Amino acid sequence: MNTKRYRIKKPFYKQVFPMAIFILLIVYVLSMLIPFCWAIFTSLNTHVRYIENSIILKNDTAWVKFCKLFYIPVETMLGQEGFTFDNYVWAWNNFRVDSVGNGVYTEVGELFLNSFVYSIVATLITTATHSITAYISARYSHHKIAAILYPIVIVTMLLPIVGNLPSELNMMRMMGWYDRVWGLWLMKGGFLGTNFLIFYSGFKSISWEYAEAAFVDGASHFRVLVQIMIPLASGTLGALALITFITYWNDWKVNIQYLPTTWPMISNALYRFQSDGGVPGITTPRRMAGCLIIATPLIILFVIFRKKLMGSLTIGGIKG
Amino acid sequence: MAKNNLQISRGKSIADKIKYPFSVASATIKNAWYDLTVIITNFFRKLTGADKRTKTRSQKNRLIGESIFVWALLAYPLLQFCICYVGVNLNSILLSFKQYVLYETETGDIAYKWQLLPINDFFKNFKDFVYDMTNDITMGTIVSNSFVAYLVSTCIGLPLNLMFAYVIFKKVPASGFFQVMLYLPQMVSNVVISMMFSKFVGESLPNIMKYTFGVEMEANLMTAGDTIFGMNLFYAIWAGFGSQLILYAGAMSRIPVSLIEFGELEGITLLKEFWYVVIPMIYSTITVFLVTGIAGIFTNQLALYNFYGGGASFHAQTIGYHFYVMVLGEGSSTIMDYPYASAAGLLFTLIVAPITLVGRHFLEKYGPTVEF
Repeated sequence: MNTKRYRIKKPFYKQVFPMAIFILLIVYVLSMLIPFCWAIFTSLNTHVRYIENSIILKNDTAWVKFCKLFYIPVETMLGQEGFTFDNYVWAWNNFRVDSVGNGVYTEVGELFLNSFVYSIVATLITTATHSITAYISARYSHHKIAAILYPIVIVTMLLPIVGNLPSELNMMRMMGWYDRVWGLWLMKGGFLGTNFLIFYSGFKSISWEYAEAAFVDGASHFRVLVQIMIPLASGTLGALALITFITYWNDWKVNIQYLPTTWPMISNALYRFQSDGGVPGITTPRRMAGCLIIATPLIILFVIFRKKLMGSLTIGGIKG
Repeated sequence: MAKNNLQISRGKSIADKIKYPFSVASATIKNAWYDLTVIITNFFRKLTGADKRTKTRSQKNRLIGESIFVWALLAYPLLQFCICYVGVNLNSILLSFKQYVLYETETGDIAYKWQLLPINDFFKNFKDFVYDMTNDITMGTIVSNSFVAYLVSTCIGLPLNLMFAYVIFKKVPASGFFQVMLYLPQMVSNVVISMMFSKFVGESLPNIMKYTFGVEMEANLMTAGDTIFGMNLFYAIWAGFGSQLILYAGAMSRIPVSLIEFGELEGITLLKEFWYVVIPMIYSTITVFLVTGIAGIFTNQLALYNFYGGGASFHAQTIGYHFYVMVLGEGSSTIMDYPYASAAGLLFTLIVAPITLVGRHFLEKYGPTVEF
């Protein structure tokens, strides 16, 4: 008689390991949420109320103490005053940069536009370069030039050159690329790095039979690339393009390193909020308002595209 | 080929309504992309006379066409690589043997120029750097900070990334919410996160500690000499989840479902599943970050520039930050430091390259080999 026993898997909440990670994750999320909530409440405070909230009096009720502890506007919670959005107005009006130092400011609209144009063009160039080189390397490896691309990427990752920023800046100055946005686009538009490996892995996983069928029907190599392969890789392409866009959008060091006087961007304007001397009249509530103005659109963007981002990206190994 | 006539429905839920304009934009982009490709391919067909061609192309012509296609697409990336990678790194080597000197022009003006070091002092920049490393007491702290930062990111950051990715992969309750929260620091500008963090720790945390736990905090943790480096390490881990997490989660999602189900039928615990199934299956992804991360010893700047600009205390500095601050700026005094920084970079490369190669060798030799 067959006495085969089937073992039943314990649910995750009855196992120590996943529960420990789960609790750790909850602690992490709380540690992330508390400063965010604190920032939101602080941005809705006036500076005076913010200072007052930092002093907890003995005769304060428990509710008032709790509010003050987390800088929640007490008067608002007690129904005595409304939230103030003045900090947001102030922050919006003070997102401006005098990068040349001659008293001529680049205003918030232009800063956003500069950031948008820089990020879009840089994303297009970088994503196109990565995807095309990865495609050629993955599918045309019988050409010698295509065959060496993958080893080049692996070697540059395995033999990292440390400290070439001075040389990069020096080269940019010599070629007239320094402090020019187009120069930066050219400098950044390379095919090295993990994005190449992600695209390589993606194109390798697409069946070549689609292309062969198209070739039989008379399609050219270019047509196979743009009308078959790119649409099939659109998940990876879209996810990487979005990540690249966000990386460029958030890159506040660009203005410090490469574009000190031309093309000021919103991320750099926000960085000036960091120091007390950066923007006259800056206070903590105003800083937090500025942070939230910049952060909110990206959070919404991520929530919308979360499912497309997660799971679309896989990377192969680095076996050369 | 038929044009993509994508039908987008508006949906009923609020999420669908928010997504609707994005879906429309996505469909419009896809249709526009298709139209553009048709226009471009038709243009090239006319240009090359392919639309009037009646004979089948010979094998030789096909190979020539393929070669033209490959070279045309690779022309820009290869040129860019030659200038911006090969050129920059060769220039970096040259720079480490140069100096930036004053000279008098023909018109009598004073200007600067690059000049190779005299042969009797050809290694001056290297000597200066080695002298500083051995005599400047602050450099000892900076170097040890860099190694500690690497160890912390590898021994704490990497396992946390893996474990959190696993929790997301297993789709625990509210895993979507956790995904958003974990990727948030990467999504939002790190200036925003660092500003919130520094103000919260500096201004609010002392109050919370005092009135909730009765602990008086004497100094700001972000600036006090004893705590500044620890806080920066904590911040690096705390705000460091992001691209690694996405790639680990992506690699885990590719693990064959049948393999996971087989383990479940055998009744293995989730710890065993994580250790004996998931880790070996995504090992190649882990090695990418382990191997390439070694260079981080000399390049990791933590978030020091975010918090302190160019003026971080040496108690918290790392090598990456130290040299980054050295070469920033526009003036000639900054440019004078380029050769010194290049020499240091060259020496660091000579140290890190063999370590990376040996590390990769051991990871491949002793790690699990899984193909799927």
